[in-house]
Amino acid sequence: MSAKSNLRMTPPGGQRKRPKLSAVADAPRGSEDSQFDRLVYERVRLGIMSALAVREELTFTELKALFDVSDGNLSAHARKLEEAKYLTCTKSFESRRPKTSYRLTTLGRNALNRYLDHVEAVIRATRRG
Amino acid sequence: MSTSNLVEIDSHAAATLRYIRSSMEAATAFTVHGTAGIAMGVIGLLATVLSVIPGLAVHWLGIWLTAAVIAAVIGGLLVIRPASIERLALSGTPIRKFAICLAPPLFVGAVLTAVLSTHDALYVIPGTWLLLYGCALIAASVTTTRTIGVMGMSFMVLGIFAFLLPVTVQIFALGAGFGGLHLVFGWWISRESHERQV
Repeated sequence: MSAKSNLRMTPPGGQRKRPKLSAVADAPRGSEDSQFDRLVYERVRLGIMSALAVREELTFTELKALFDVSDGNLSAHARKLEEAKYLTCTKSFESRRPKTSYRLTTLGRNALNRYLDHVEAVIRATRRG
Repeated sequence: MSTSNLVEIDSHAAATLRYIRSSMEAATAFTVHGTAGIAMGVIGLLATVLSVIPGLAVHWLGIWLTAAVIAAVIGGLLVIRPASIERLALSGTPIRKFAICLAPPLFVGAVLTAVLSTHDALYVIPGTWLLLYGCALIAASVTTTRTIGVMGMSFMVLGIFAFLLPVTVQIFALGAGFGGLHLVFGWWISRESHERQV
């Protein structure tokens, strides 16, 4: 049985039973949310956003060490988050060496909060069930 | 939807939450700042100099105990200082883990100091201190950088070496450890942290 049909299930008594995942299904999910899910579902991107949620700023080198990813991989993920305006990127020089720093924007923080609420709702719903 | 599907969604969501939490913890991992090591090293060297002055040499234990308290307070303040209140609150777990790892060997050191000084066995105190401080650092390195573990190993090697030295030069072993090793590793940690930020 598919998840969709399960959510529409009505017991024989006529009284409609509240489905196990109703908390998740009831959560408002506009196009922005769906876009965020797709963007953040990837593990490295979720890690970058989580790390930046507790640190005001992290450099490219710090993020690279934190998630043990290649330069190319990290810049590709960071660029996607930057394009979505979830991160801001600042390039500067320190002791004549280039320094790239990232910060989480308010939009990014709100999006991460929504994603966390959603994941927690899934856990609550399945445990209640 | 079958129960097994529900369990799968639940465990996947729980794993996602665990990953988010571990990413946050890793980002706020406890960082020991090199300046703390350098400051403690300077105090260690001062204690060594005071301990070898002829009139003060008999009070070496008191000098070193005072130096240990001052170094612990200054080192602690320098370790905590760079964190804002918010970051300190968020990094509470790593700081707590660091303290829990560090505390037992230091407590044993304090108890052994009392026991050994009561039994007039002062000659084993320098080696014991270096050995136990090394143990504390190795244990605490689990929550911070590997350099702290290397520093702990160096203290342990020096501690074993101190037991083999004549009593008259054991103060210099203390100076080499709590003065020299602190300075060297403080400088090394500062350099590493600077390179990480660039």
